[in-house]
Amino acid sequence: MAKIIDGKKISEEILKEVSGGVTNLKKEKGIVPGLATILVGEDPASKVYVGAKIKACEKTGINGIKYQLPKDVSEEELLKKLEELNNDDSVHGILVQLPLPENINISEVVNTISPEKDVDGFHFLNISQLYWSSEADLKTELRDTLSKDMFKPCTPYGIVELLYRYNIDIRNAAVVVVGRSNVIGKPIAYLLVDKVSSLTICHSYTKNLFEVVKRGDIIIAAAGKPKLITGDMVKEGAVVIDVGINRSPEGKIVGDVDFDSVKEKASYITPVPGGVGPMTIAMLLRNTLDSALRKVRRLNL
Amino acid sequence: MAAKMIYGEEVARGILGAIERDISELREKDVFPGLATILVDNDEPSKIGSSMIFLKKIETLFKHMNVYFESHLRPKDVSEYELIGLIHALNDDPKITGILLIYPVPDHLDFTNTGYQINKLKDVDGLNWLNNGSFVSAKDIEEMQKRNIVIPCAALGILQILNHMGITLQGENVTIVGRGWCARPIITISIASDATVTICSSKTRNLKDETQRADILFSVTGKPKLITGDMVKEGAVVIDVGINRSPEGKIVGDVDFDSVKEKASYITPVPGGIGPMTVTMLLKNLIELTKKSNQIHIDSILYS
Repeated sequence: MAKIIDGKKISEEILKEVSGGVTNLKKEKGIVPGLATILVGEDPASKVYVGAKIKACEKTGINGIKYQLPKDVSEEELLKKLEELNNDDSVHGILVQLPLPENINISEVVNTISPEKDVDGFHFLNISQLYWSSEADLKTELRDTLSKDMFKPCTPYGIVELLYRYNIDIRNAAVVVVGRSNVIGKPIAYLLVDKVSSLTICHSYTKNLFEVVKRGDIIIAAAGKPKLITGDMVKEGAVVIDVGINRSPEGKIVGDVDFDSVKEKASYITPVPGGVGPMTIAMLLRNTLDSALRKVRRLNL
Repeated sequence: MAAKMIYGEEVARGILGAIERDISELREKDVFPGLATILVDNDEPSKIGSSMIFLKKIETLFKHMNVYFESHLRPKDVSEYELIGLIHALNDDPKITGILLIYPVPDHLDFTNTGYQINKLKDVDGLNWLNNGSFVSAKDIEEMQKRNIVIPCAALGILQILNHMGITLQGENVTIVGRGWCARPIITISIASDATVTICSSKTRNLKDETQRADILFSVTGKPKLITGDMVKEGAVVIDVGINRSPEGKIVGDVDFDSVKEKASYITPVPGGIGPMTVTMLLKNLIELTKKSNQIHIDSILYS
């Protein structure tokens, strides 16, 4: 019977750490880290996500600022807003809630955000640095975040933080990543590739998903398909990380993993909700604090 | 069964004809491509050795094609500041339309940070962050082609060779042994080609199990004879991206050619396999970037 990886508990620990950092920064330098969020349109799910991020800001003492733009906003206006926030000294992190309306070019938007304020880690400079990064181990990767100017995308960052805090051995692990999105599958693969024994990326074209998944010591499911990973596909003792957020026909939030059957086989498993989800927000705020700390260091404030 | 050989040189020859036509068309428009390479000396003889071979190959091809080429050699203690200064000067030099920073560089230099300084329109190996980010984020090869995204030369050469041989990666099990600088673009094109991709290293536990599953096996480790016949599935395609110098001074790949050729369906020899294609793709990328910076329409030579 698997141990539950409690993402909610770990995320609260991280928020507490961030909160301590914010307090220190305020006391020593008089600086309050600021996170600007931009929501375009009225998508209910996006509203919930932005709301949760602002709420977490309040918990940690970070100044969360909400900008709501109409759904027919032009790309030009959005970019102008971003430039304004790039130049705003009280803002240390900028987040544009995705998805965006179709008339807006996403890469144009993410590359307009100053890379030093790109706390979502989607600017191509940050993506490229993650792509080439080679750290000997997870500890250096996770703990030495101030010496370099790079932001890791929050969900992959949250996943490696969970693995680290649960002392899961990744060095000798065969890792299987299911899904190859730009937001999760690819960055988690490039982040882990040189720190594990082997890493396999599968997706909708994979012919023998069952066999591939069965070989995994660590399985990261990020395909966006409810119950894709079932107990019979999982090796005894494997670690199973569920990144999926899907809505079941009954309106419940479910992951990509069939929790009930997989928990009988796995050694560790993340639930949905309460697994990877809360970590994404925690890492966003960690990135925002790091951004403020790096600025202090850079400008010798 | 003895494997069919894949001679990069032959594939390259076919492509060079098209490149030659492109070059003369550019000349008629008074546009002249020109490449600058930067090579930093290195303490490790094996590393500098393969870089020197590469450089020699570039020089030969560019002379043969009558395209301007200049080589900048820097001592191993060159500072990052000085190297970046050189790149900035080349960025501003109108006779240079492409810049190649040759990997590897000594440890005190940050290869990424230095490569980021190359102007994106002169960036023949896709090192600039905007080019690299576009490459990594592209959904598939078609998108890379359609948007004229710079594909790093070695990876582009591999795509050309596979395309030429009619080998498709979609749904196949691709295993890449190696995860360093040269291997990463091969990971990217394999994912973008819809393969199930496994990345290992020479340190992987049960490496043999991983390589034996591969329909297509790439080796990019710089370790001579790492891949032996018993590690290869009957009928697999084996692509050797290693360039190493043997103790006897011969150029050898990562693959133990004699034992592997009995098992594989296709195999690339070293030398004469991937190497010549990489150099040809350098010229191809240079021509395309020259066109791009002169606002001349680009028709991709490959998947057109």
